[in-house]
Amino acid sequence: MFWLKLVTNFIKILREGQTPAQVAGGVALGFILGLSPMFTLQGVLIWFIILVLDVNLSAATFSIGLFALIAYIFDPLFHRFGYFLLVDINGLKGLWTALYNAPIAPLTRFNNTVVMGSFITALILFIPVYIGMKKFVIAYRATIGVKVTQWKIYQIIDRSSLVQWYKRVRNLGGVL
Amino acid sequence: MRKKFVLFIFVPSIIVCIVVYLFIDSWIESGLEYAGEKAVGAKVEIDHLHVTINPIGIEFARLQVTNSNDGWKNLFETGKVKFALNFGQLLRGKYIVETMEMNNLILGTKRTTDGSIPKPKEEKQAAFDSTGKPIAPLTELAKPALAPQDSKSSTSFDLEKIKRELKIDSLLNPNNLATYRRVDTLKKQINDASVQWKTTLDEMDKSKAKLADIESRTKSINLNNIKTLQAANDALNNAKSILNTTNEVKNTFNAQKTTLTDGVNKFSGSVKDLDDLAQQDFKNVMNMAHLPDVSMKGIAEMVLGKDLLQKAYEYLGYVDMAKNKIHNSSDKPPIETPARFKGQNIHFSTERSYPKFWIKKILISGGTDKAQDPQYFYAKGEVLNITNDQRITGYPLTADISATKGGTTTLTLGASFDRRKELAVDNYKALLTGLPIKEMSLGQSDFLPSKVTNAVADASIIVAVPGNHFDSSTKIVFKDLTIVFQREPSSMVERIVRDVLASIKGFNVNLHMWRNENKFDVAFATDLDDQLASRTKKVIGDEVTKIQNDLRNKLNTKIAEKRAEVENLINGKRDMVMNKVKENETLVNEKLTMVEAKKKEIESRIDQEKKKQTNDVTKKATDALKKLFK
Repeated sequence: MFWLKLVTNFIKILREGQTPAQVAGGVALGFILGLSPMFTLQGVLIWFIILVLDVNLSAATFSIGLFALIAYIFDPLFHRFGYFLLVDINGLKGLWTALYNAPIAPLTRFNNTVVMGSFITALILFIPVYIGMKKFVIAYRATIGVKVTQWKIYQIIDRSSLVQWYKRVRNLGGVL
Repeated sequence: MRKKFVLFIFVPSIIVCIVVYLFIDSWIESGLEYAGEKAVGAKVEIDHLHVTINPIGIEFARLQVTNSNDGWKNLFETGKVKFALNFGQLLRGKYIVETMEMNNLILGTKRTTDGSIPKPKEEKQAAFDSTGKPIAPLTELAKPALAPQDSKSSTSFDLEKIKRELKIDSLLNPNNLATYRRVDTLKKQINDASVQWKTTLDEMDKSKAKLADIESRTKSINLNNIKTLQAANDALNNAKSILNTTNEVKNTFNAQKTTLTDGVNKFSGSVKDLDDLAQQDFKNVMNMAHLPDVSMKGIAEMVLGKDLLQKAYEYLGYVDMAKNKIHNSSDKPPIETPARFKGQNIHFSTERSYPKFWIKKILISGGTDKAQDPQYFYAKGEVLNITNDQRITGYPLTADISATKGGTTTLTLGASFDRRKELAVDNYKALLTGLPIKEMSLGQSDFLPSKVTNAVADASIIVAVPGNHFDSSTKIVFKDLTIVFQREPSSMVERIVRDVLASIKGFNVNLHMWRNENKFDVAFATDLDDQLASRTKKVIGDEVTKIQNDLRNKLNTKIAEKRAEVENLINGKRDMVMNKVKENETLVNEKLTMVEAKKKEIESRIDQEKKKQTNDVTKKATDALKKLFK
C-alpha cells in the first residue's frame, strides 16, 4: 500500500501543486540518493539539501525508491566504473591518495567502487534528469496527463478492485 | 529555501541524535561481534559495550571468542577491555589505537551455550605463490602424514607362524625378481646389438679388398726402374696417393672400432648394475616375507603418535589461519565480484601515513585474582602492531604472552607475523612446562590399546613459516607417567612393547614436521625406539637374522645363475667382435707400414738421384776448367 500511495501521490504531483522545477529538483536529488547504495557523508549532505531547498519531498522519496531499484540492476556496472576510476586511471591516483589521507573525505567512502561509480554517474546525469523531468512535468500537465487517463490500461487499473478498495480506504481517512 | 526550514532540519536532526545516543552502544557492539564472527568463524560476544566521548573510545566488560573447532569452549575470554581512538585519524576514516588494555585474559574457558555458528558457503580462495602456482593449505598437505594411524598394520612377531607361512619358492619366483627381468632384457638387447655389430664387421671386411689393392699398387712401384729424377718424383707422388688411401681406410676402421668397442663396453657396464638390482630384490623379498624389523622402527610412533599427531594437525589449522587472515592491503588489487551494493574498497595509503587500522599495543593482564580457576590458563603480556598493512607501519605483528595454570603449568608464547616484504614470514616459539596429563591415549584399537594417566609433560615448539615453506620442531618430555593397559597383549610385539612401557617412568618425543614446495613430511623420533629395539633383539633377533640369511643366500644363488647367462653371452660376443677387430687392425697397420716404407725408399732414391746429378755437374765443370787452364 505504501508504494501505491507513493505512486498516487507522485501522479497527483505531476498533475498539480508545486512548480515543475520543484518536482524536477526533488526527482533529481532523489536520483542521486537512490543510485548511491550506502550510508555516506555525501548522502547526508544531499538529504540536507533536499530538506533545506523547497523541492518536492514526495517526488524525492519516489525518486529514491525508483532509482534504488535501478541501482540494484546496474550495480555491477557501477562497480566496474568505480574500479576503473579508482584503480585504472593513474592520473587520478594522486587525488585519491590525498583525499584518502585527508580528514573527513574518507567518510564519503569514495574509495568504494560502487559508491564512486554510482555517485559519479549520478552527478553526470543530474542536470539531464532535472531538465528532462521539468519538461516532462510541463508536458504532462499540458497534454500527456489527459491522454494517459484515456489509455485502456489506465482505465482497467483504475477500475480494478484493488484500486477501488484502496480509494475507499483512503477516503475513510479523509485524505486526498 | 523551504519556509519551515527549522522544522525540517532540526527536528529530524534532534530525533536522529537521540536515536544514535540511545542505540550507538548496541550498534557498535553488534558490528564488532559481527566482524569478529566473520574473522573467527564462531560466536564472538561482547558484554556491556560503552562508547566514551572524551577521549573518544570504547570499553566493554567482557569479550568471549568461541573456539571454532569446539563450540562449547572459548578460544579466550577477557575481563574489562578499554581503548581510545585517535580522533584526528577517525575523521580520516582510520581506526588507530595507541594502547588497548585487556584485563583478565583466560584461555580455553568453558561456555554455557554452544558458540558454533553455521559455516558460510565460502568459495575456496586458492592461494598462489610468486610464480602463480596454486598453494595447497598446510592442513590439506599434512592430512596423509598426520591422519589417525589406526590403519597402520602391526608387524607379526610369531616366529613359528612366520616360518610355517614362509614360502621361499614363491618369494623367489623369477617373475618377482627385477634382476631376472633385467637379465632377460639385456640378453635380448645384446642379441639385437650383435646383429648391428655383425653388419659393422662385414663393412670392416669390405676394406680388405681396398687393402689388397693398396698392397698391389705399392708393390708395383719398382725402384730399380727409376732412372731419372723425374721418374723418382712420379713414383713419390704415386706413393703419397696410396698413403692417403691407406689413411682413409684406417680412419674408417677406427670409427668402426670405436662404435663396436663402445657398444660392447656399454653392455659390460649394464651387467655391473645388476648388483644394485639384486640388493633391491632382496629388500622386496624381505618385505614380502613380512619378517619383523628387529630395530622396531616405527613401533614407538605407532604407539605414541596417535594423539600427538592429531594435536599437531589441529595446531597446523591455526598456523594456516594466521597465514591466511593476516595480510596487507593493496592500492591496486585485482577486481573482485562483490555482493550487490557492497562494492570493493580500494586503499590509497602512503608512506609515513597511518593504515586503515592499527592497534599499536595491547597490554594484557591475567589479573591478580588469587582465586584463579586452576583449570584455565591466565595470560599476560603484550601484542604489538595489529594492522591491515604492515608495509605502512613498518612493524611486524608480534605477540609475547606468558600464561600460568593452577600455579604449576606455565606457557610462554612468542610469535611474529611479518608481512612487510613480499615473502610473508611467520615465526612461533612456545614453551610449556609442568603440563599435567590426566589421560592420553596410546596404541591403537588393534595394537596395545592403553592410556597414560597422571603424567607431567614439558614441551618446546619452534615453528617457522617463511612463504610457502614450513618447518617445525617439537620436543616433548613426558615424566612421572603411569600406563594403564586396556587388555592383555595378544602378540609377541605387544608383549615386548608392553614390557618396555611398563618399566619406564618417562620418555622423550621429537616431532619434526616440514614442508618443501608441495610435499609435507613428518619425522617422529623417541628414545623408546632404542629400548624397544634392544628388547626385541634379545627375544627374537637371532631367529629373524637366521631366516633373513637363508633367504639372502638362496636369492644370491638364483641371481648368480641368471647373471652367468648374460655374462657368458656378453663375453662370447665381446671375444668375437674384438678378435675380428684385432685381425683387421693388424692388416691395416701392416699395409700402412708397407706404404710408408715404400715412400721412404722413394724419397731416399730421390736424394741419391739429386746427389748424383750434382756430382755430375761438378765433375763436368771441373773437367771444363782443367781443359781451359791446360
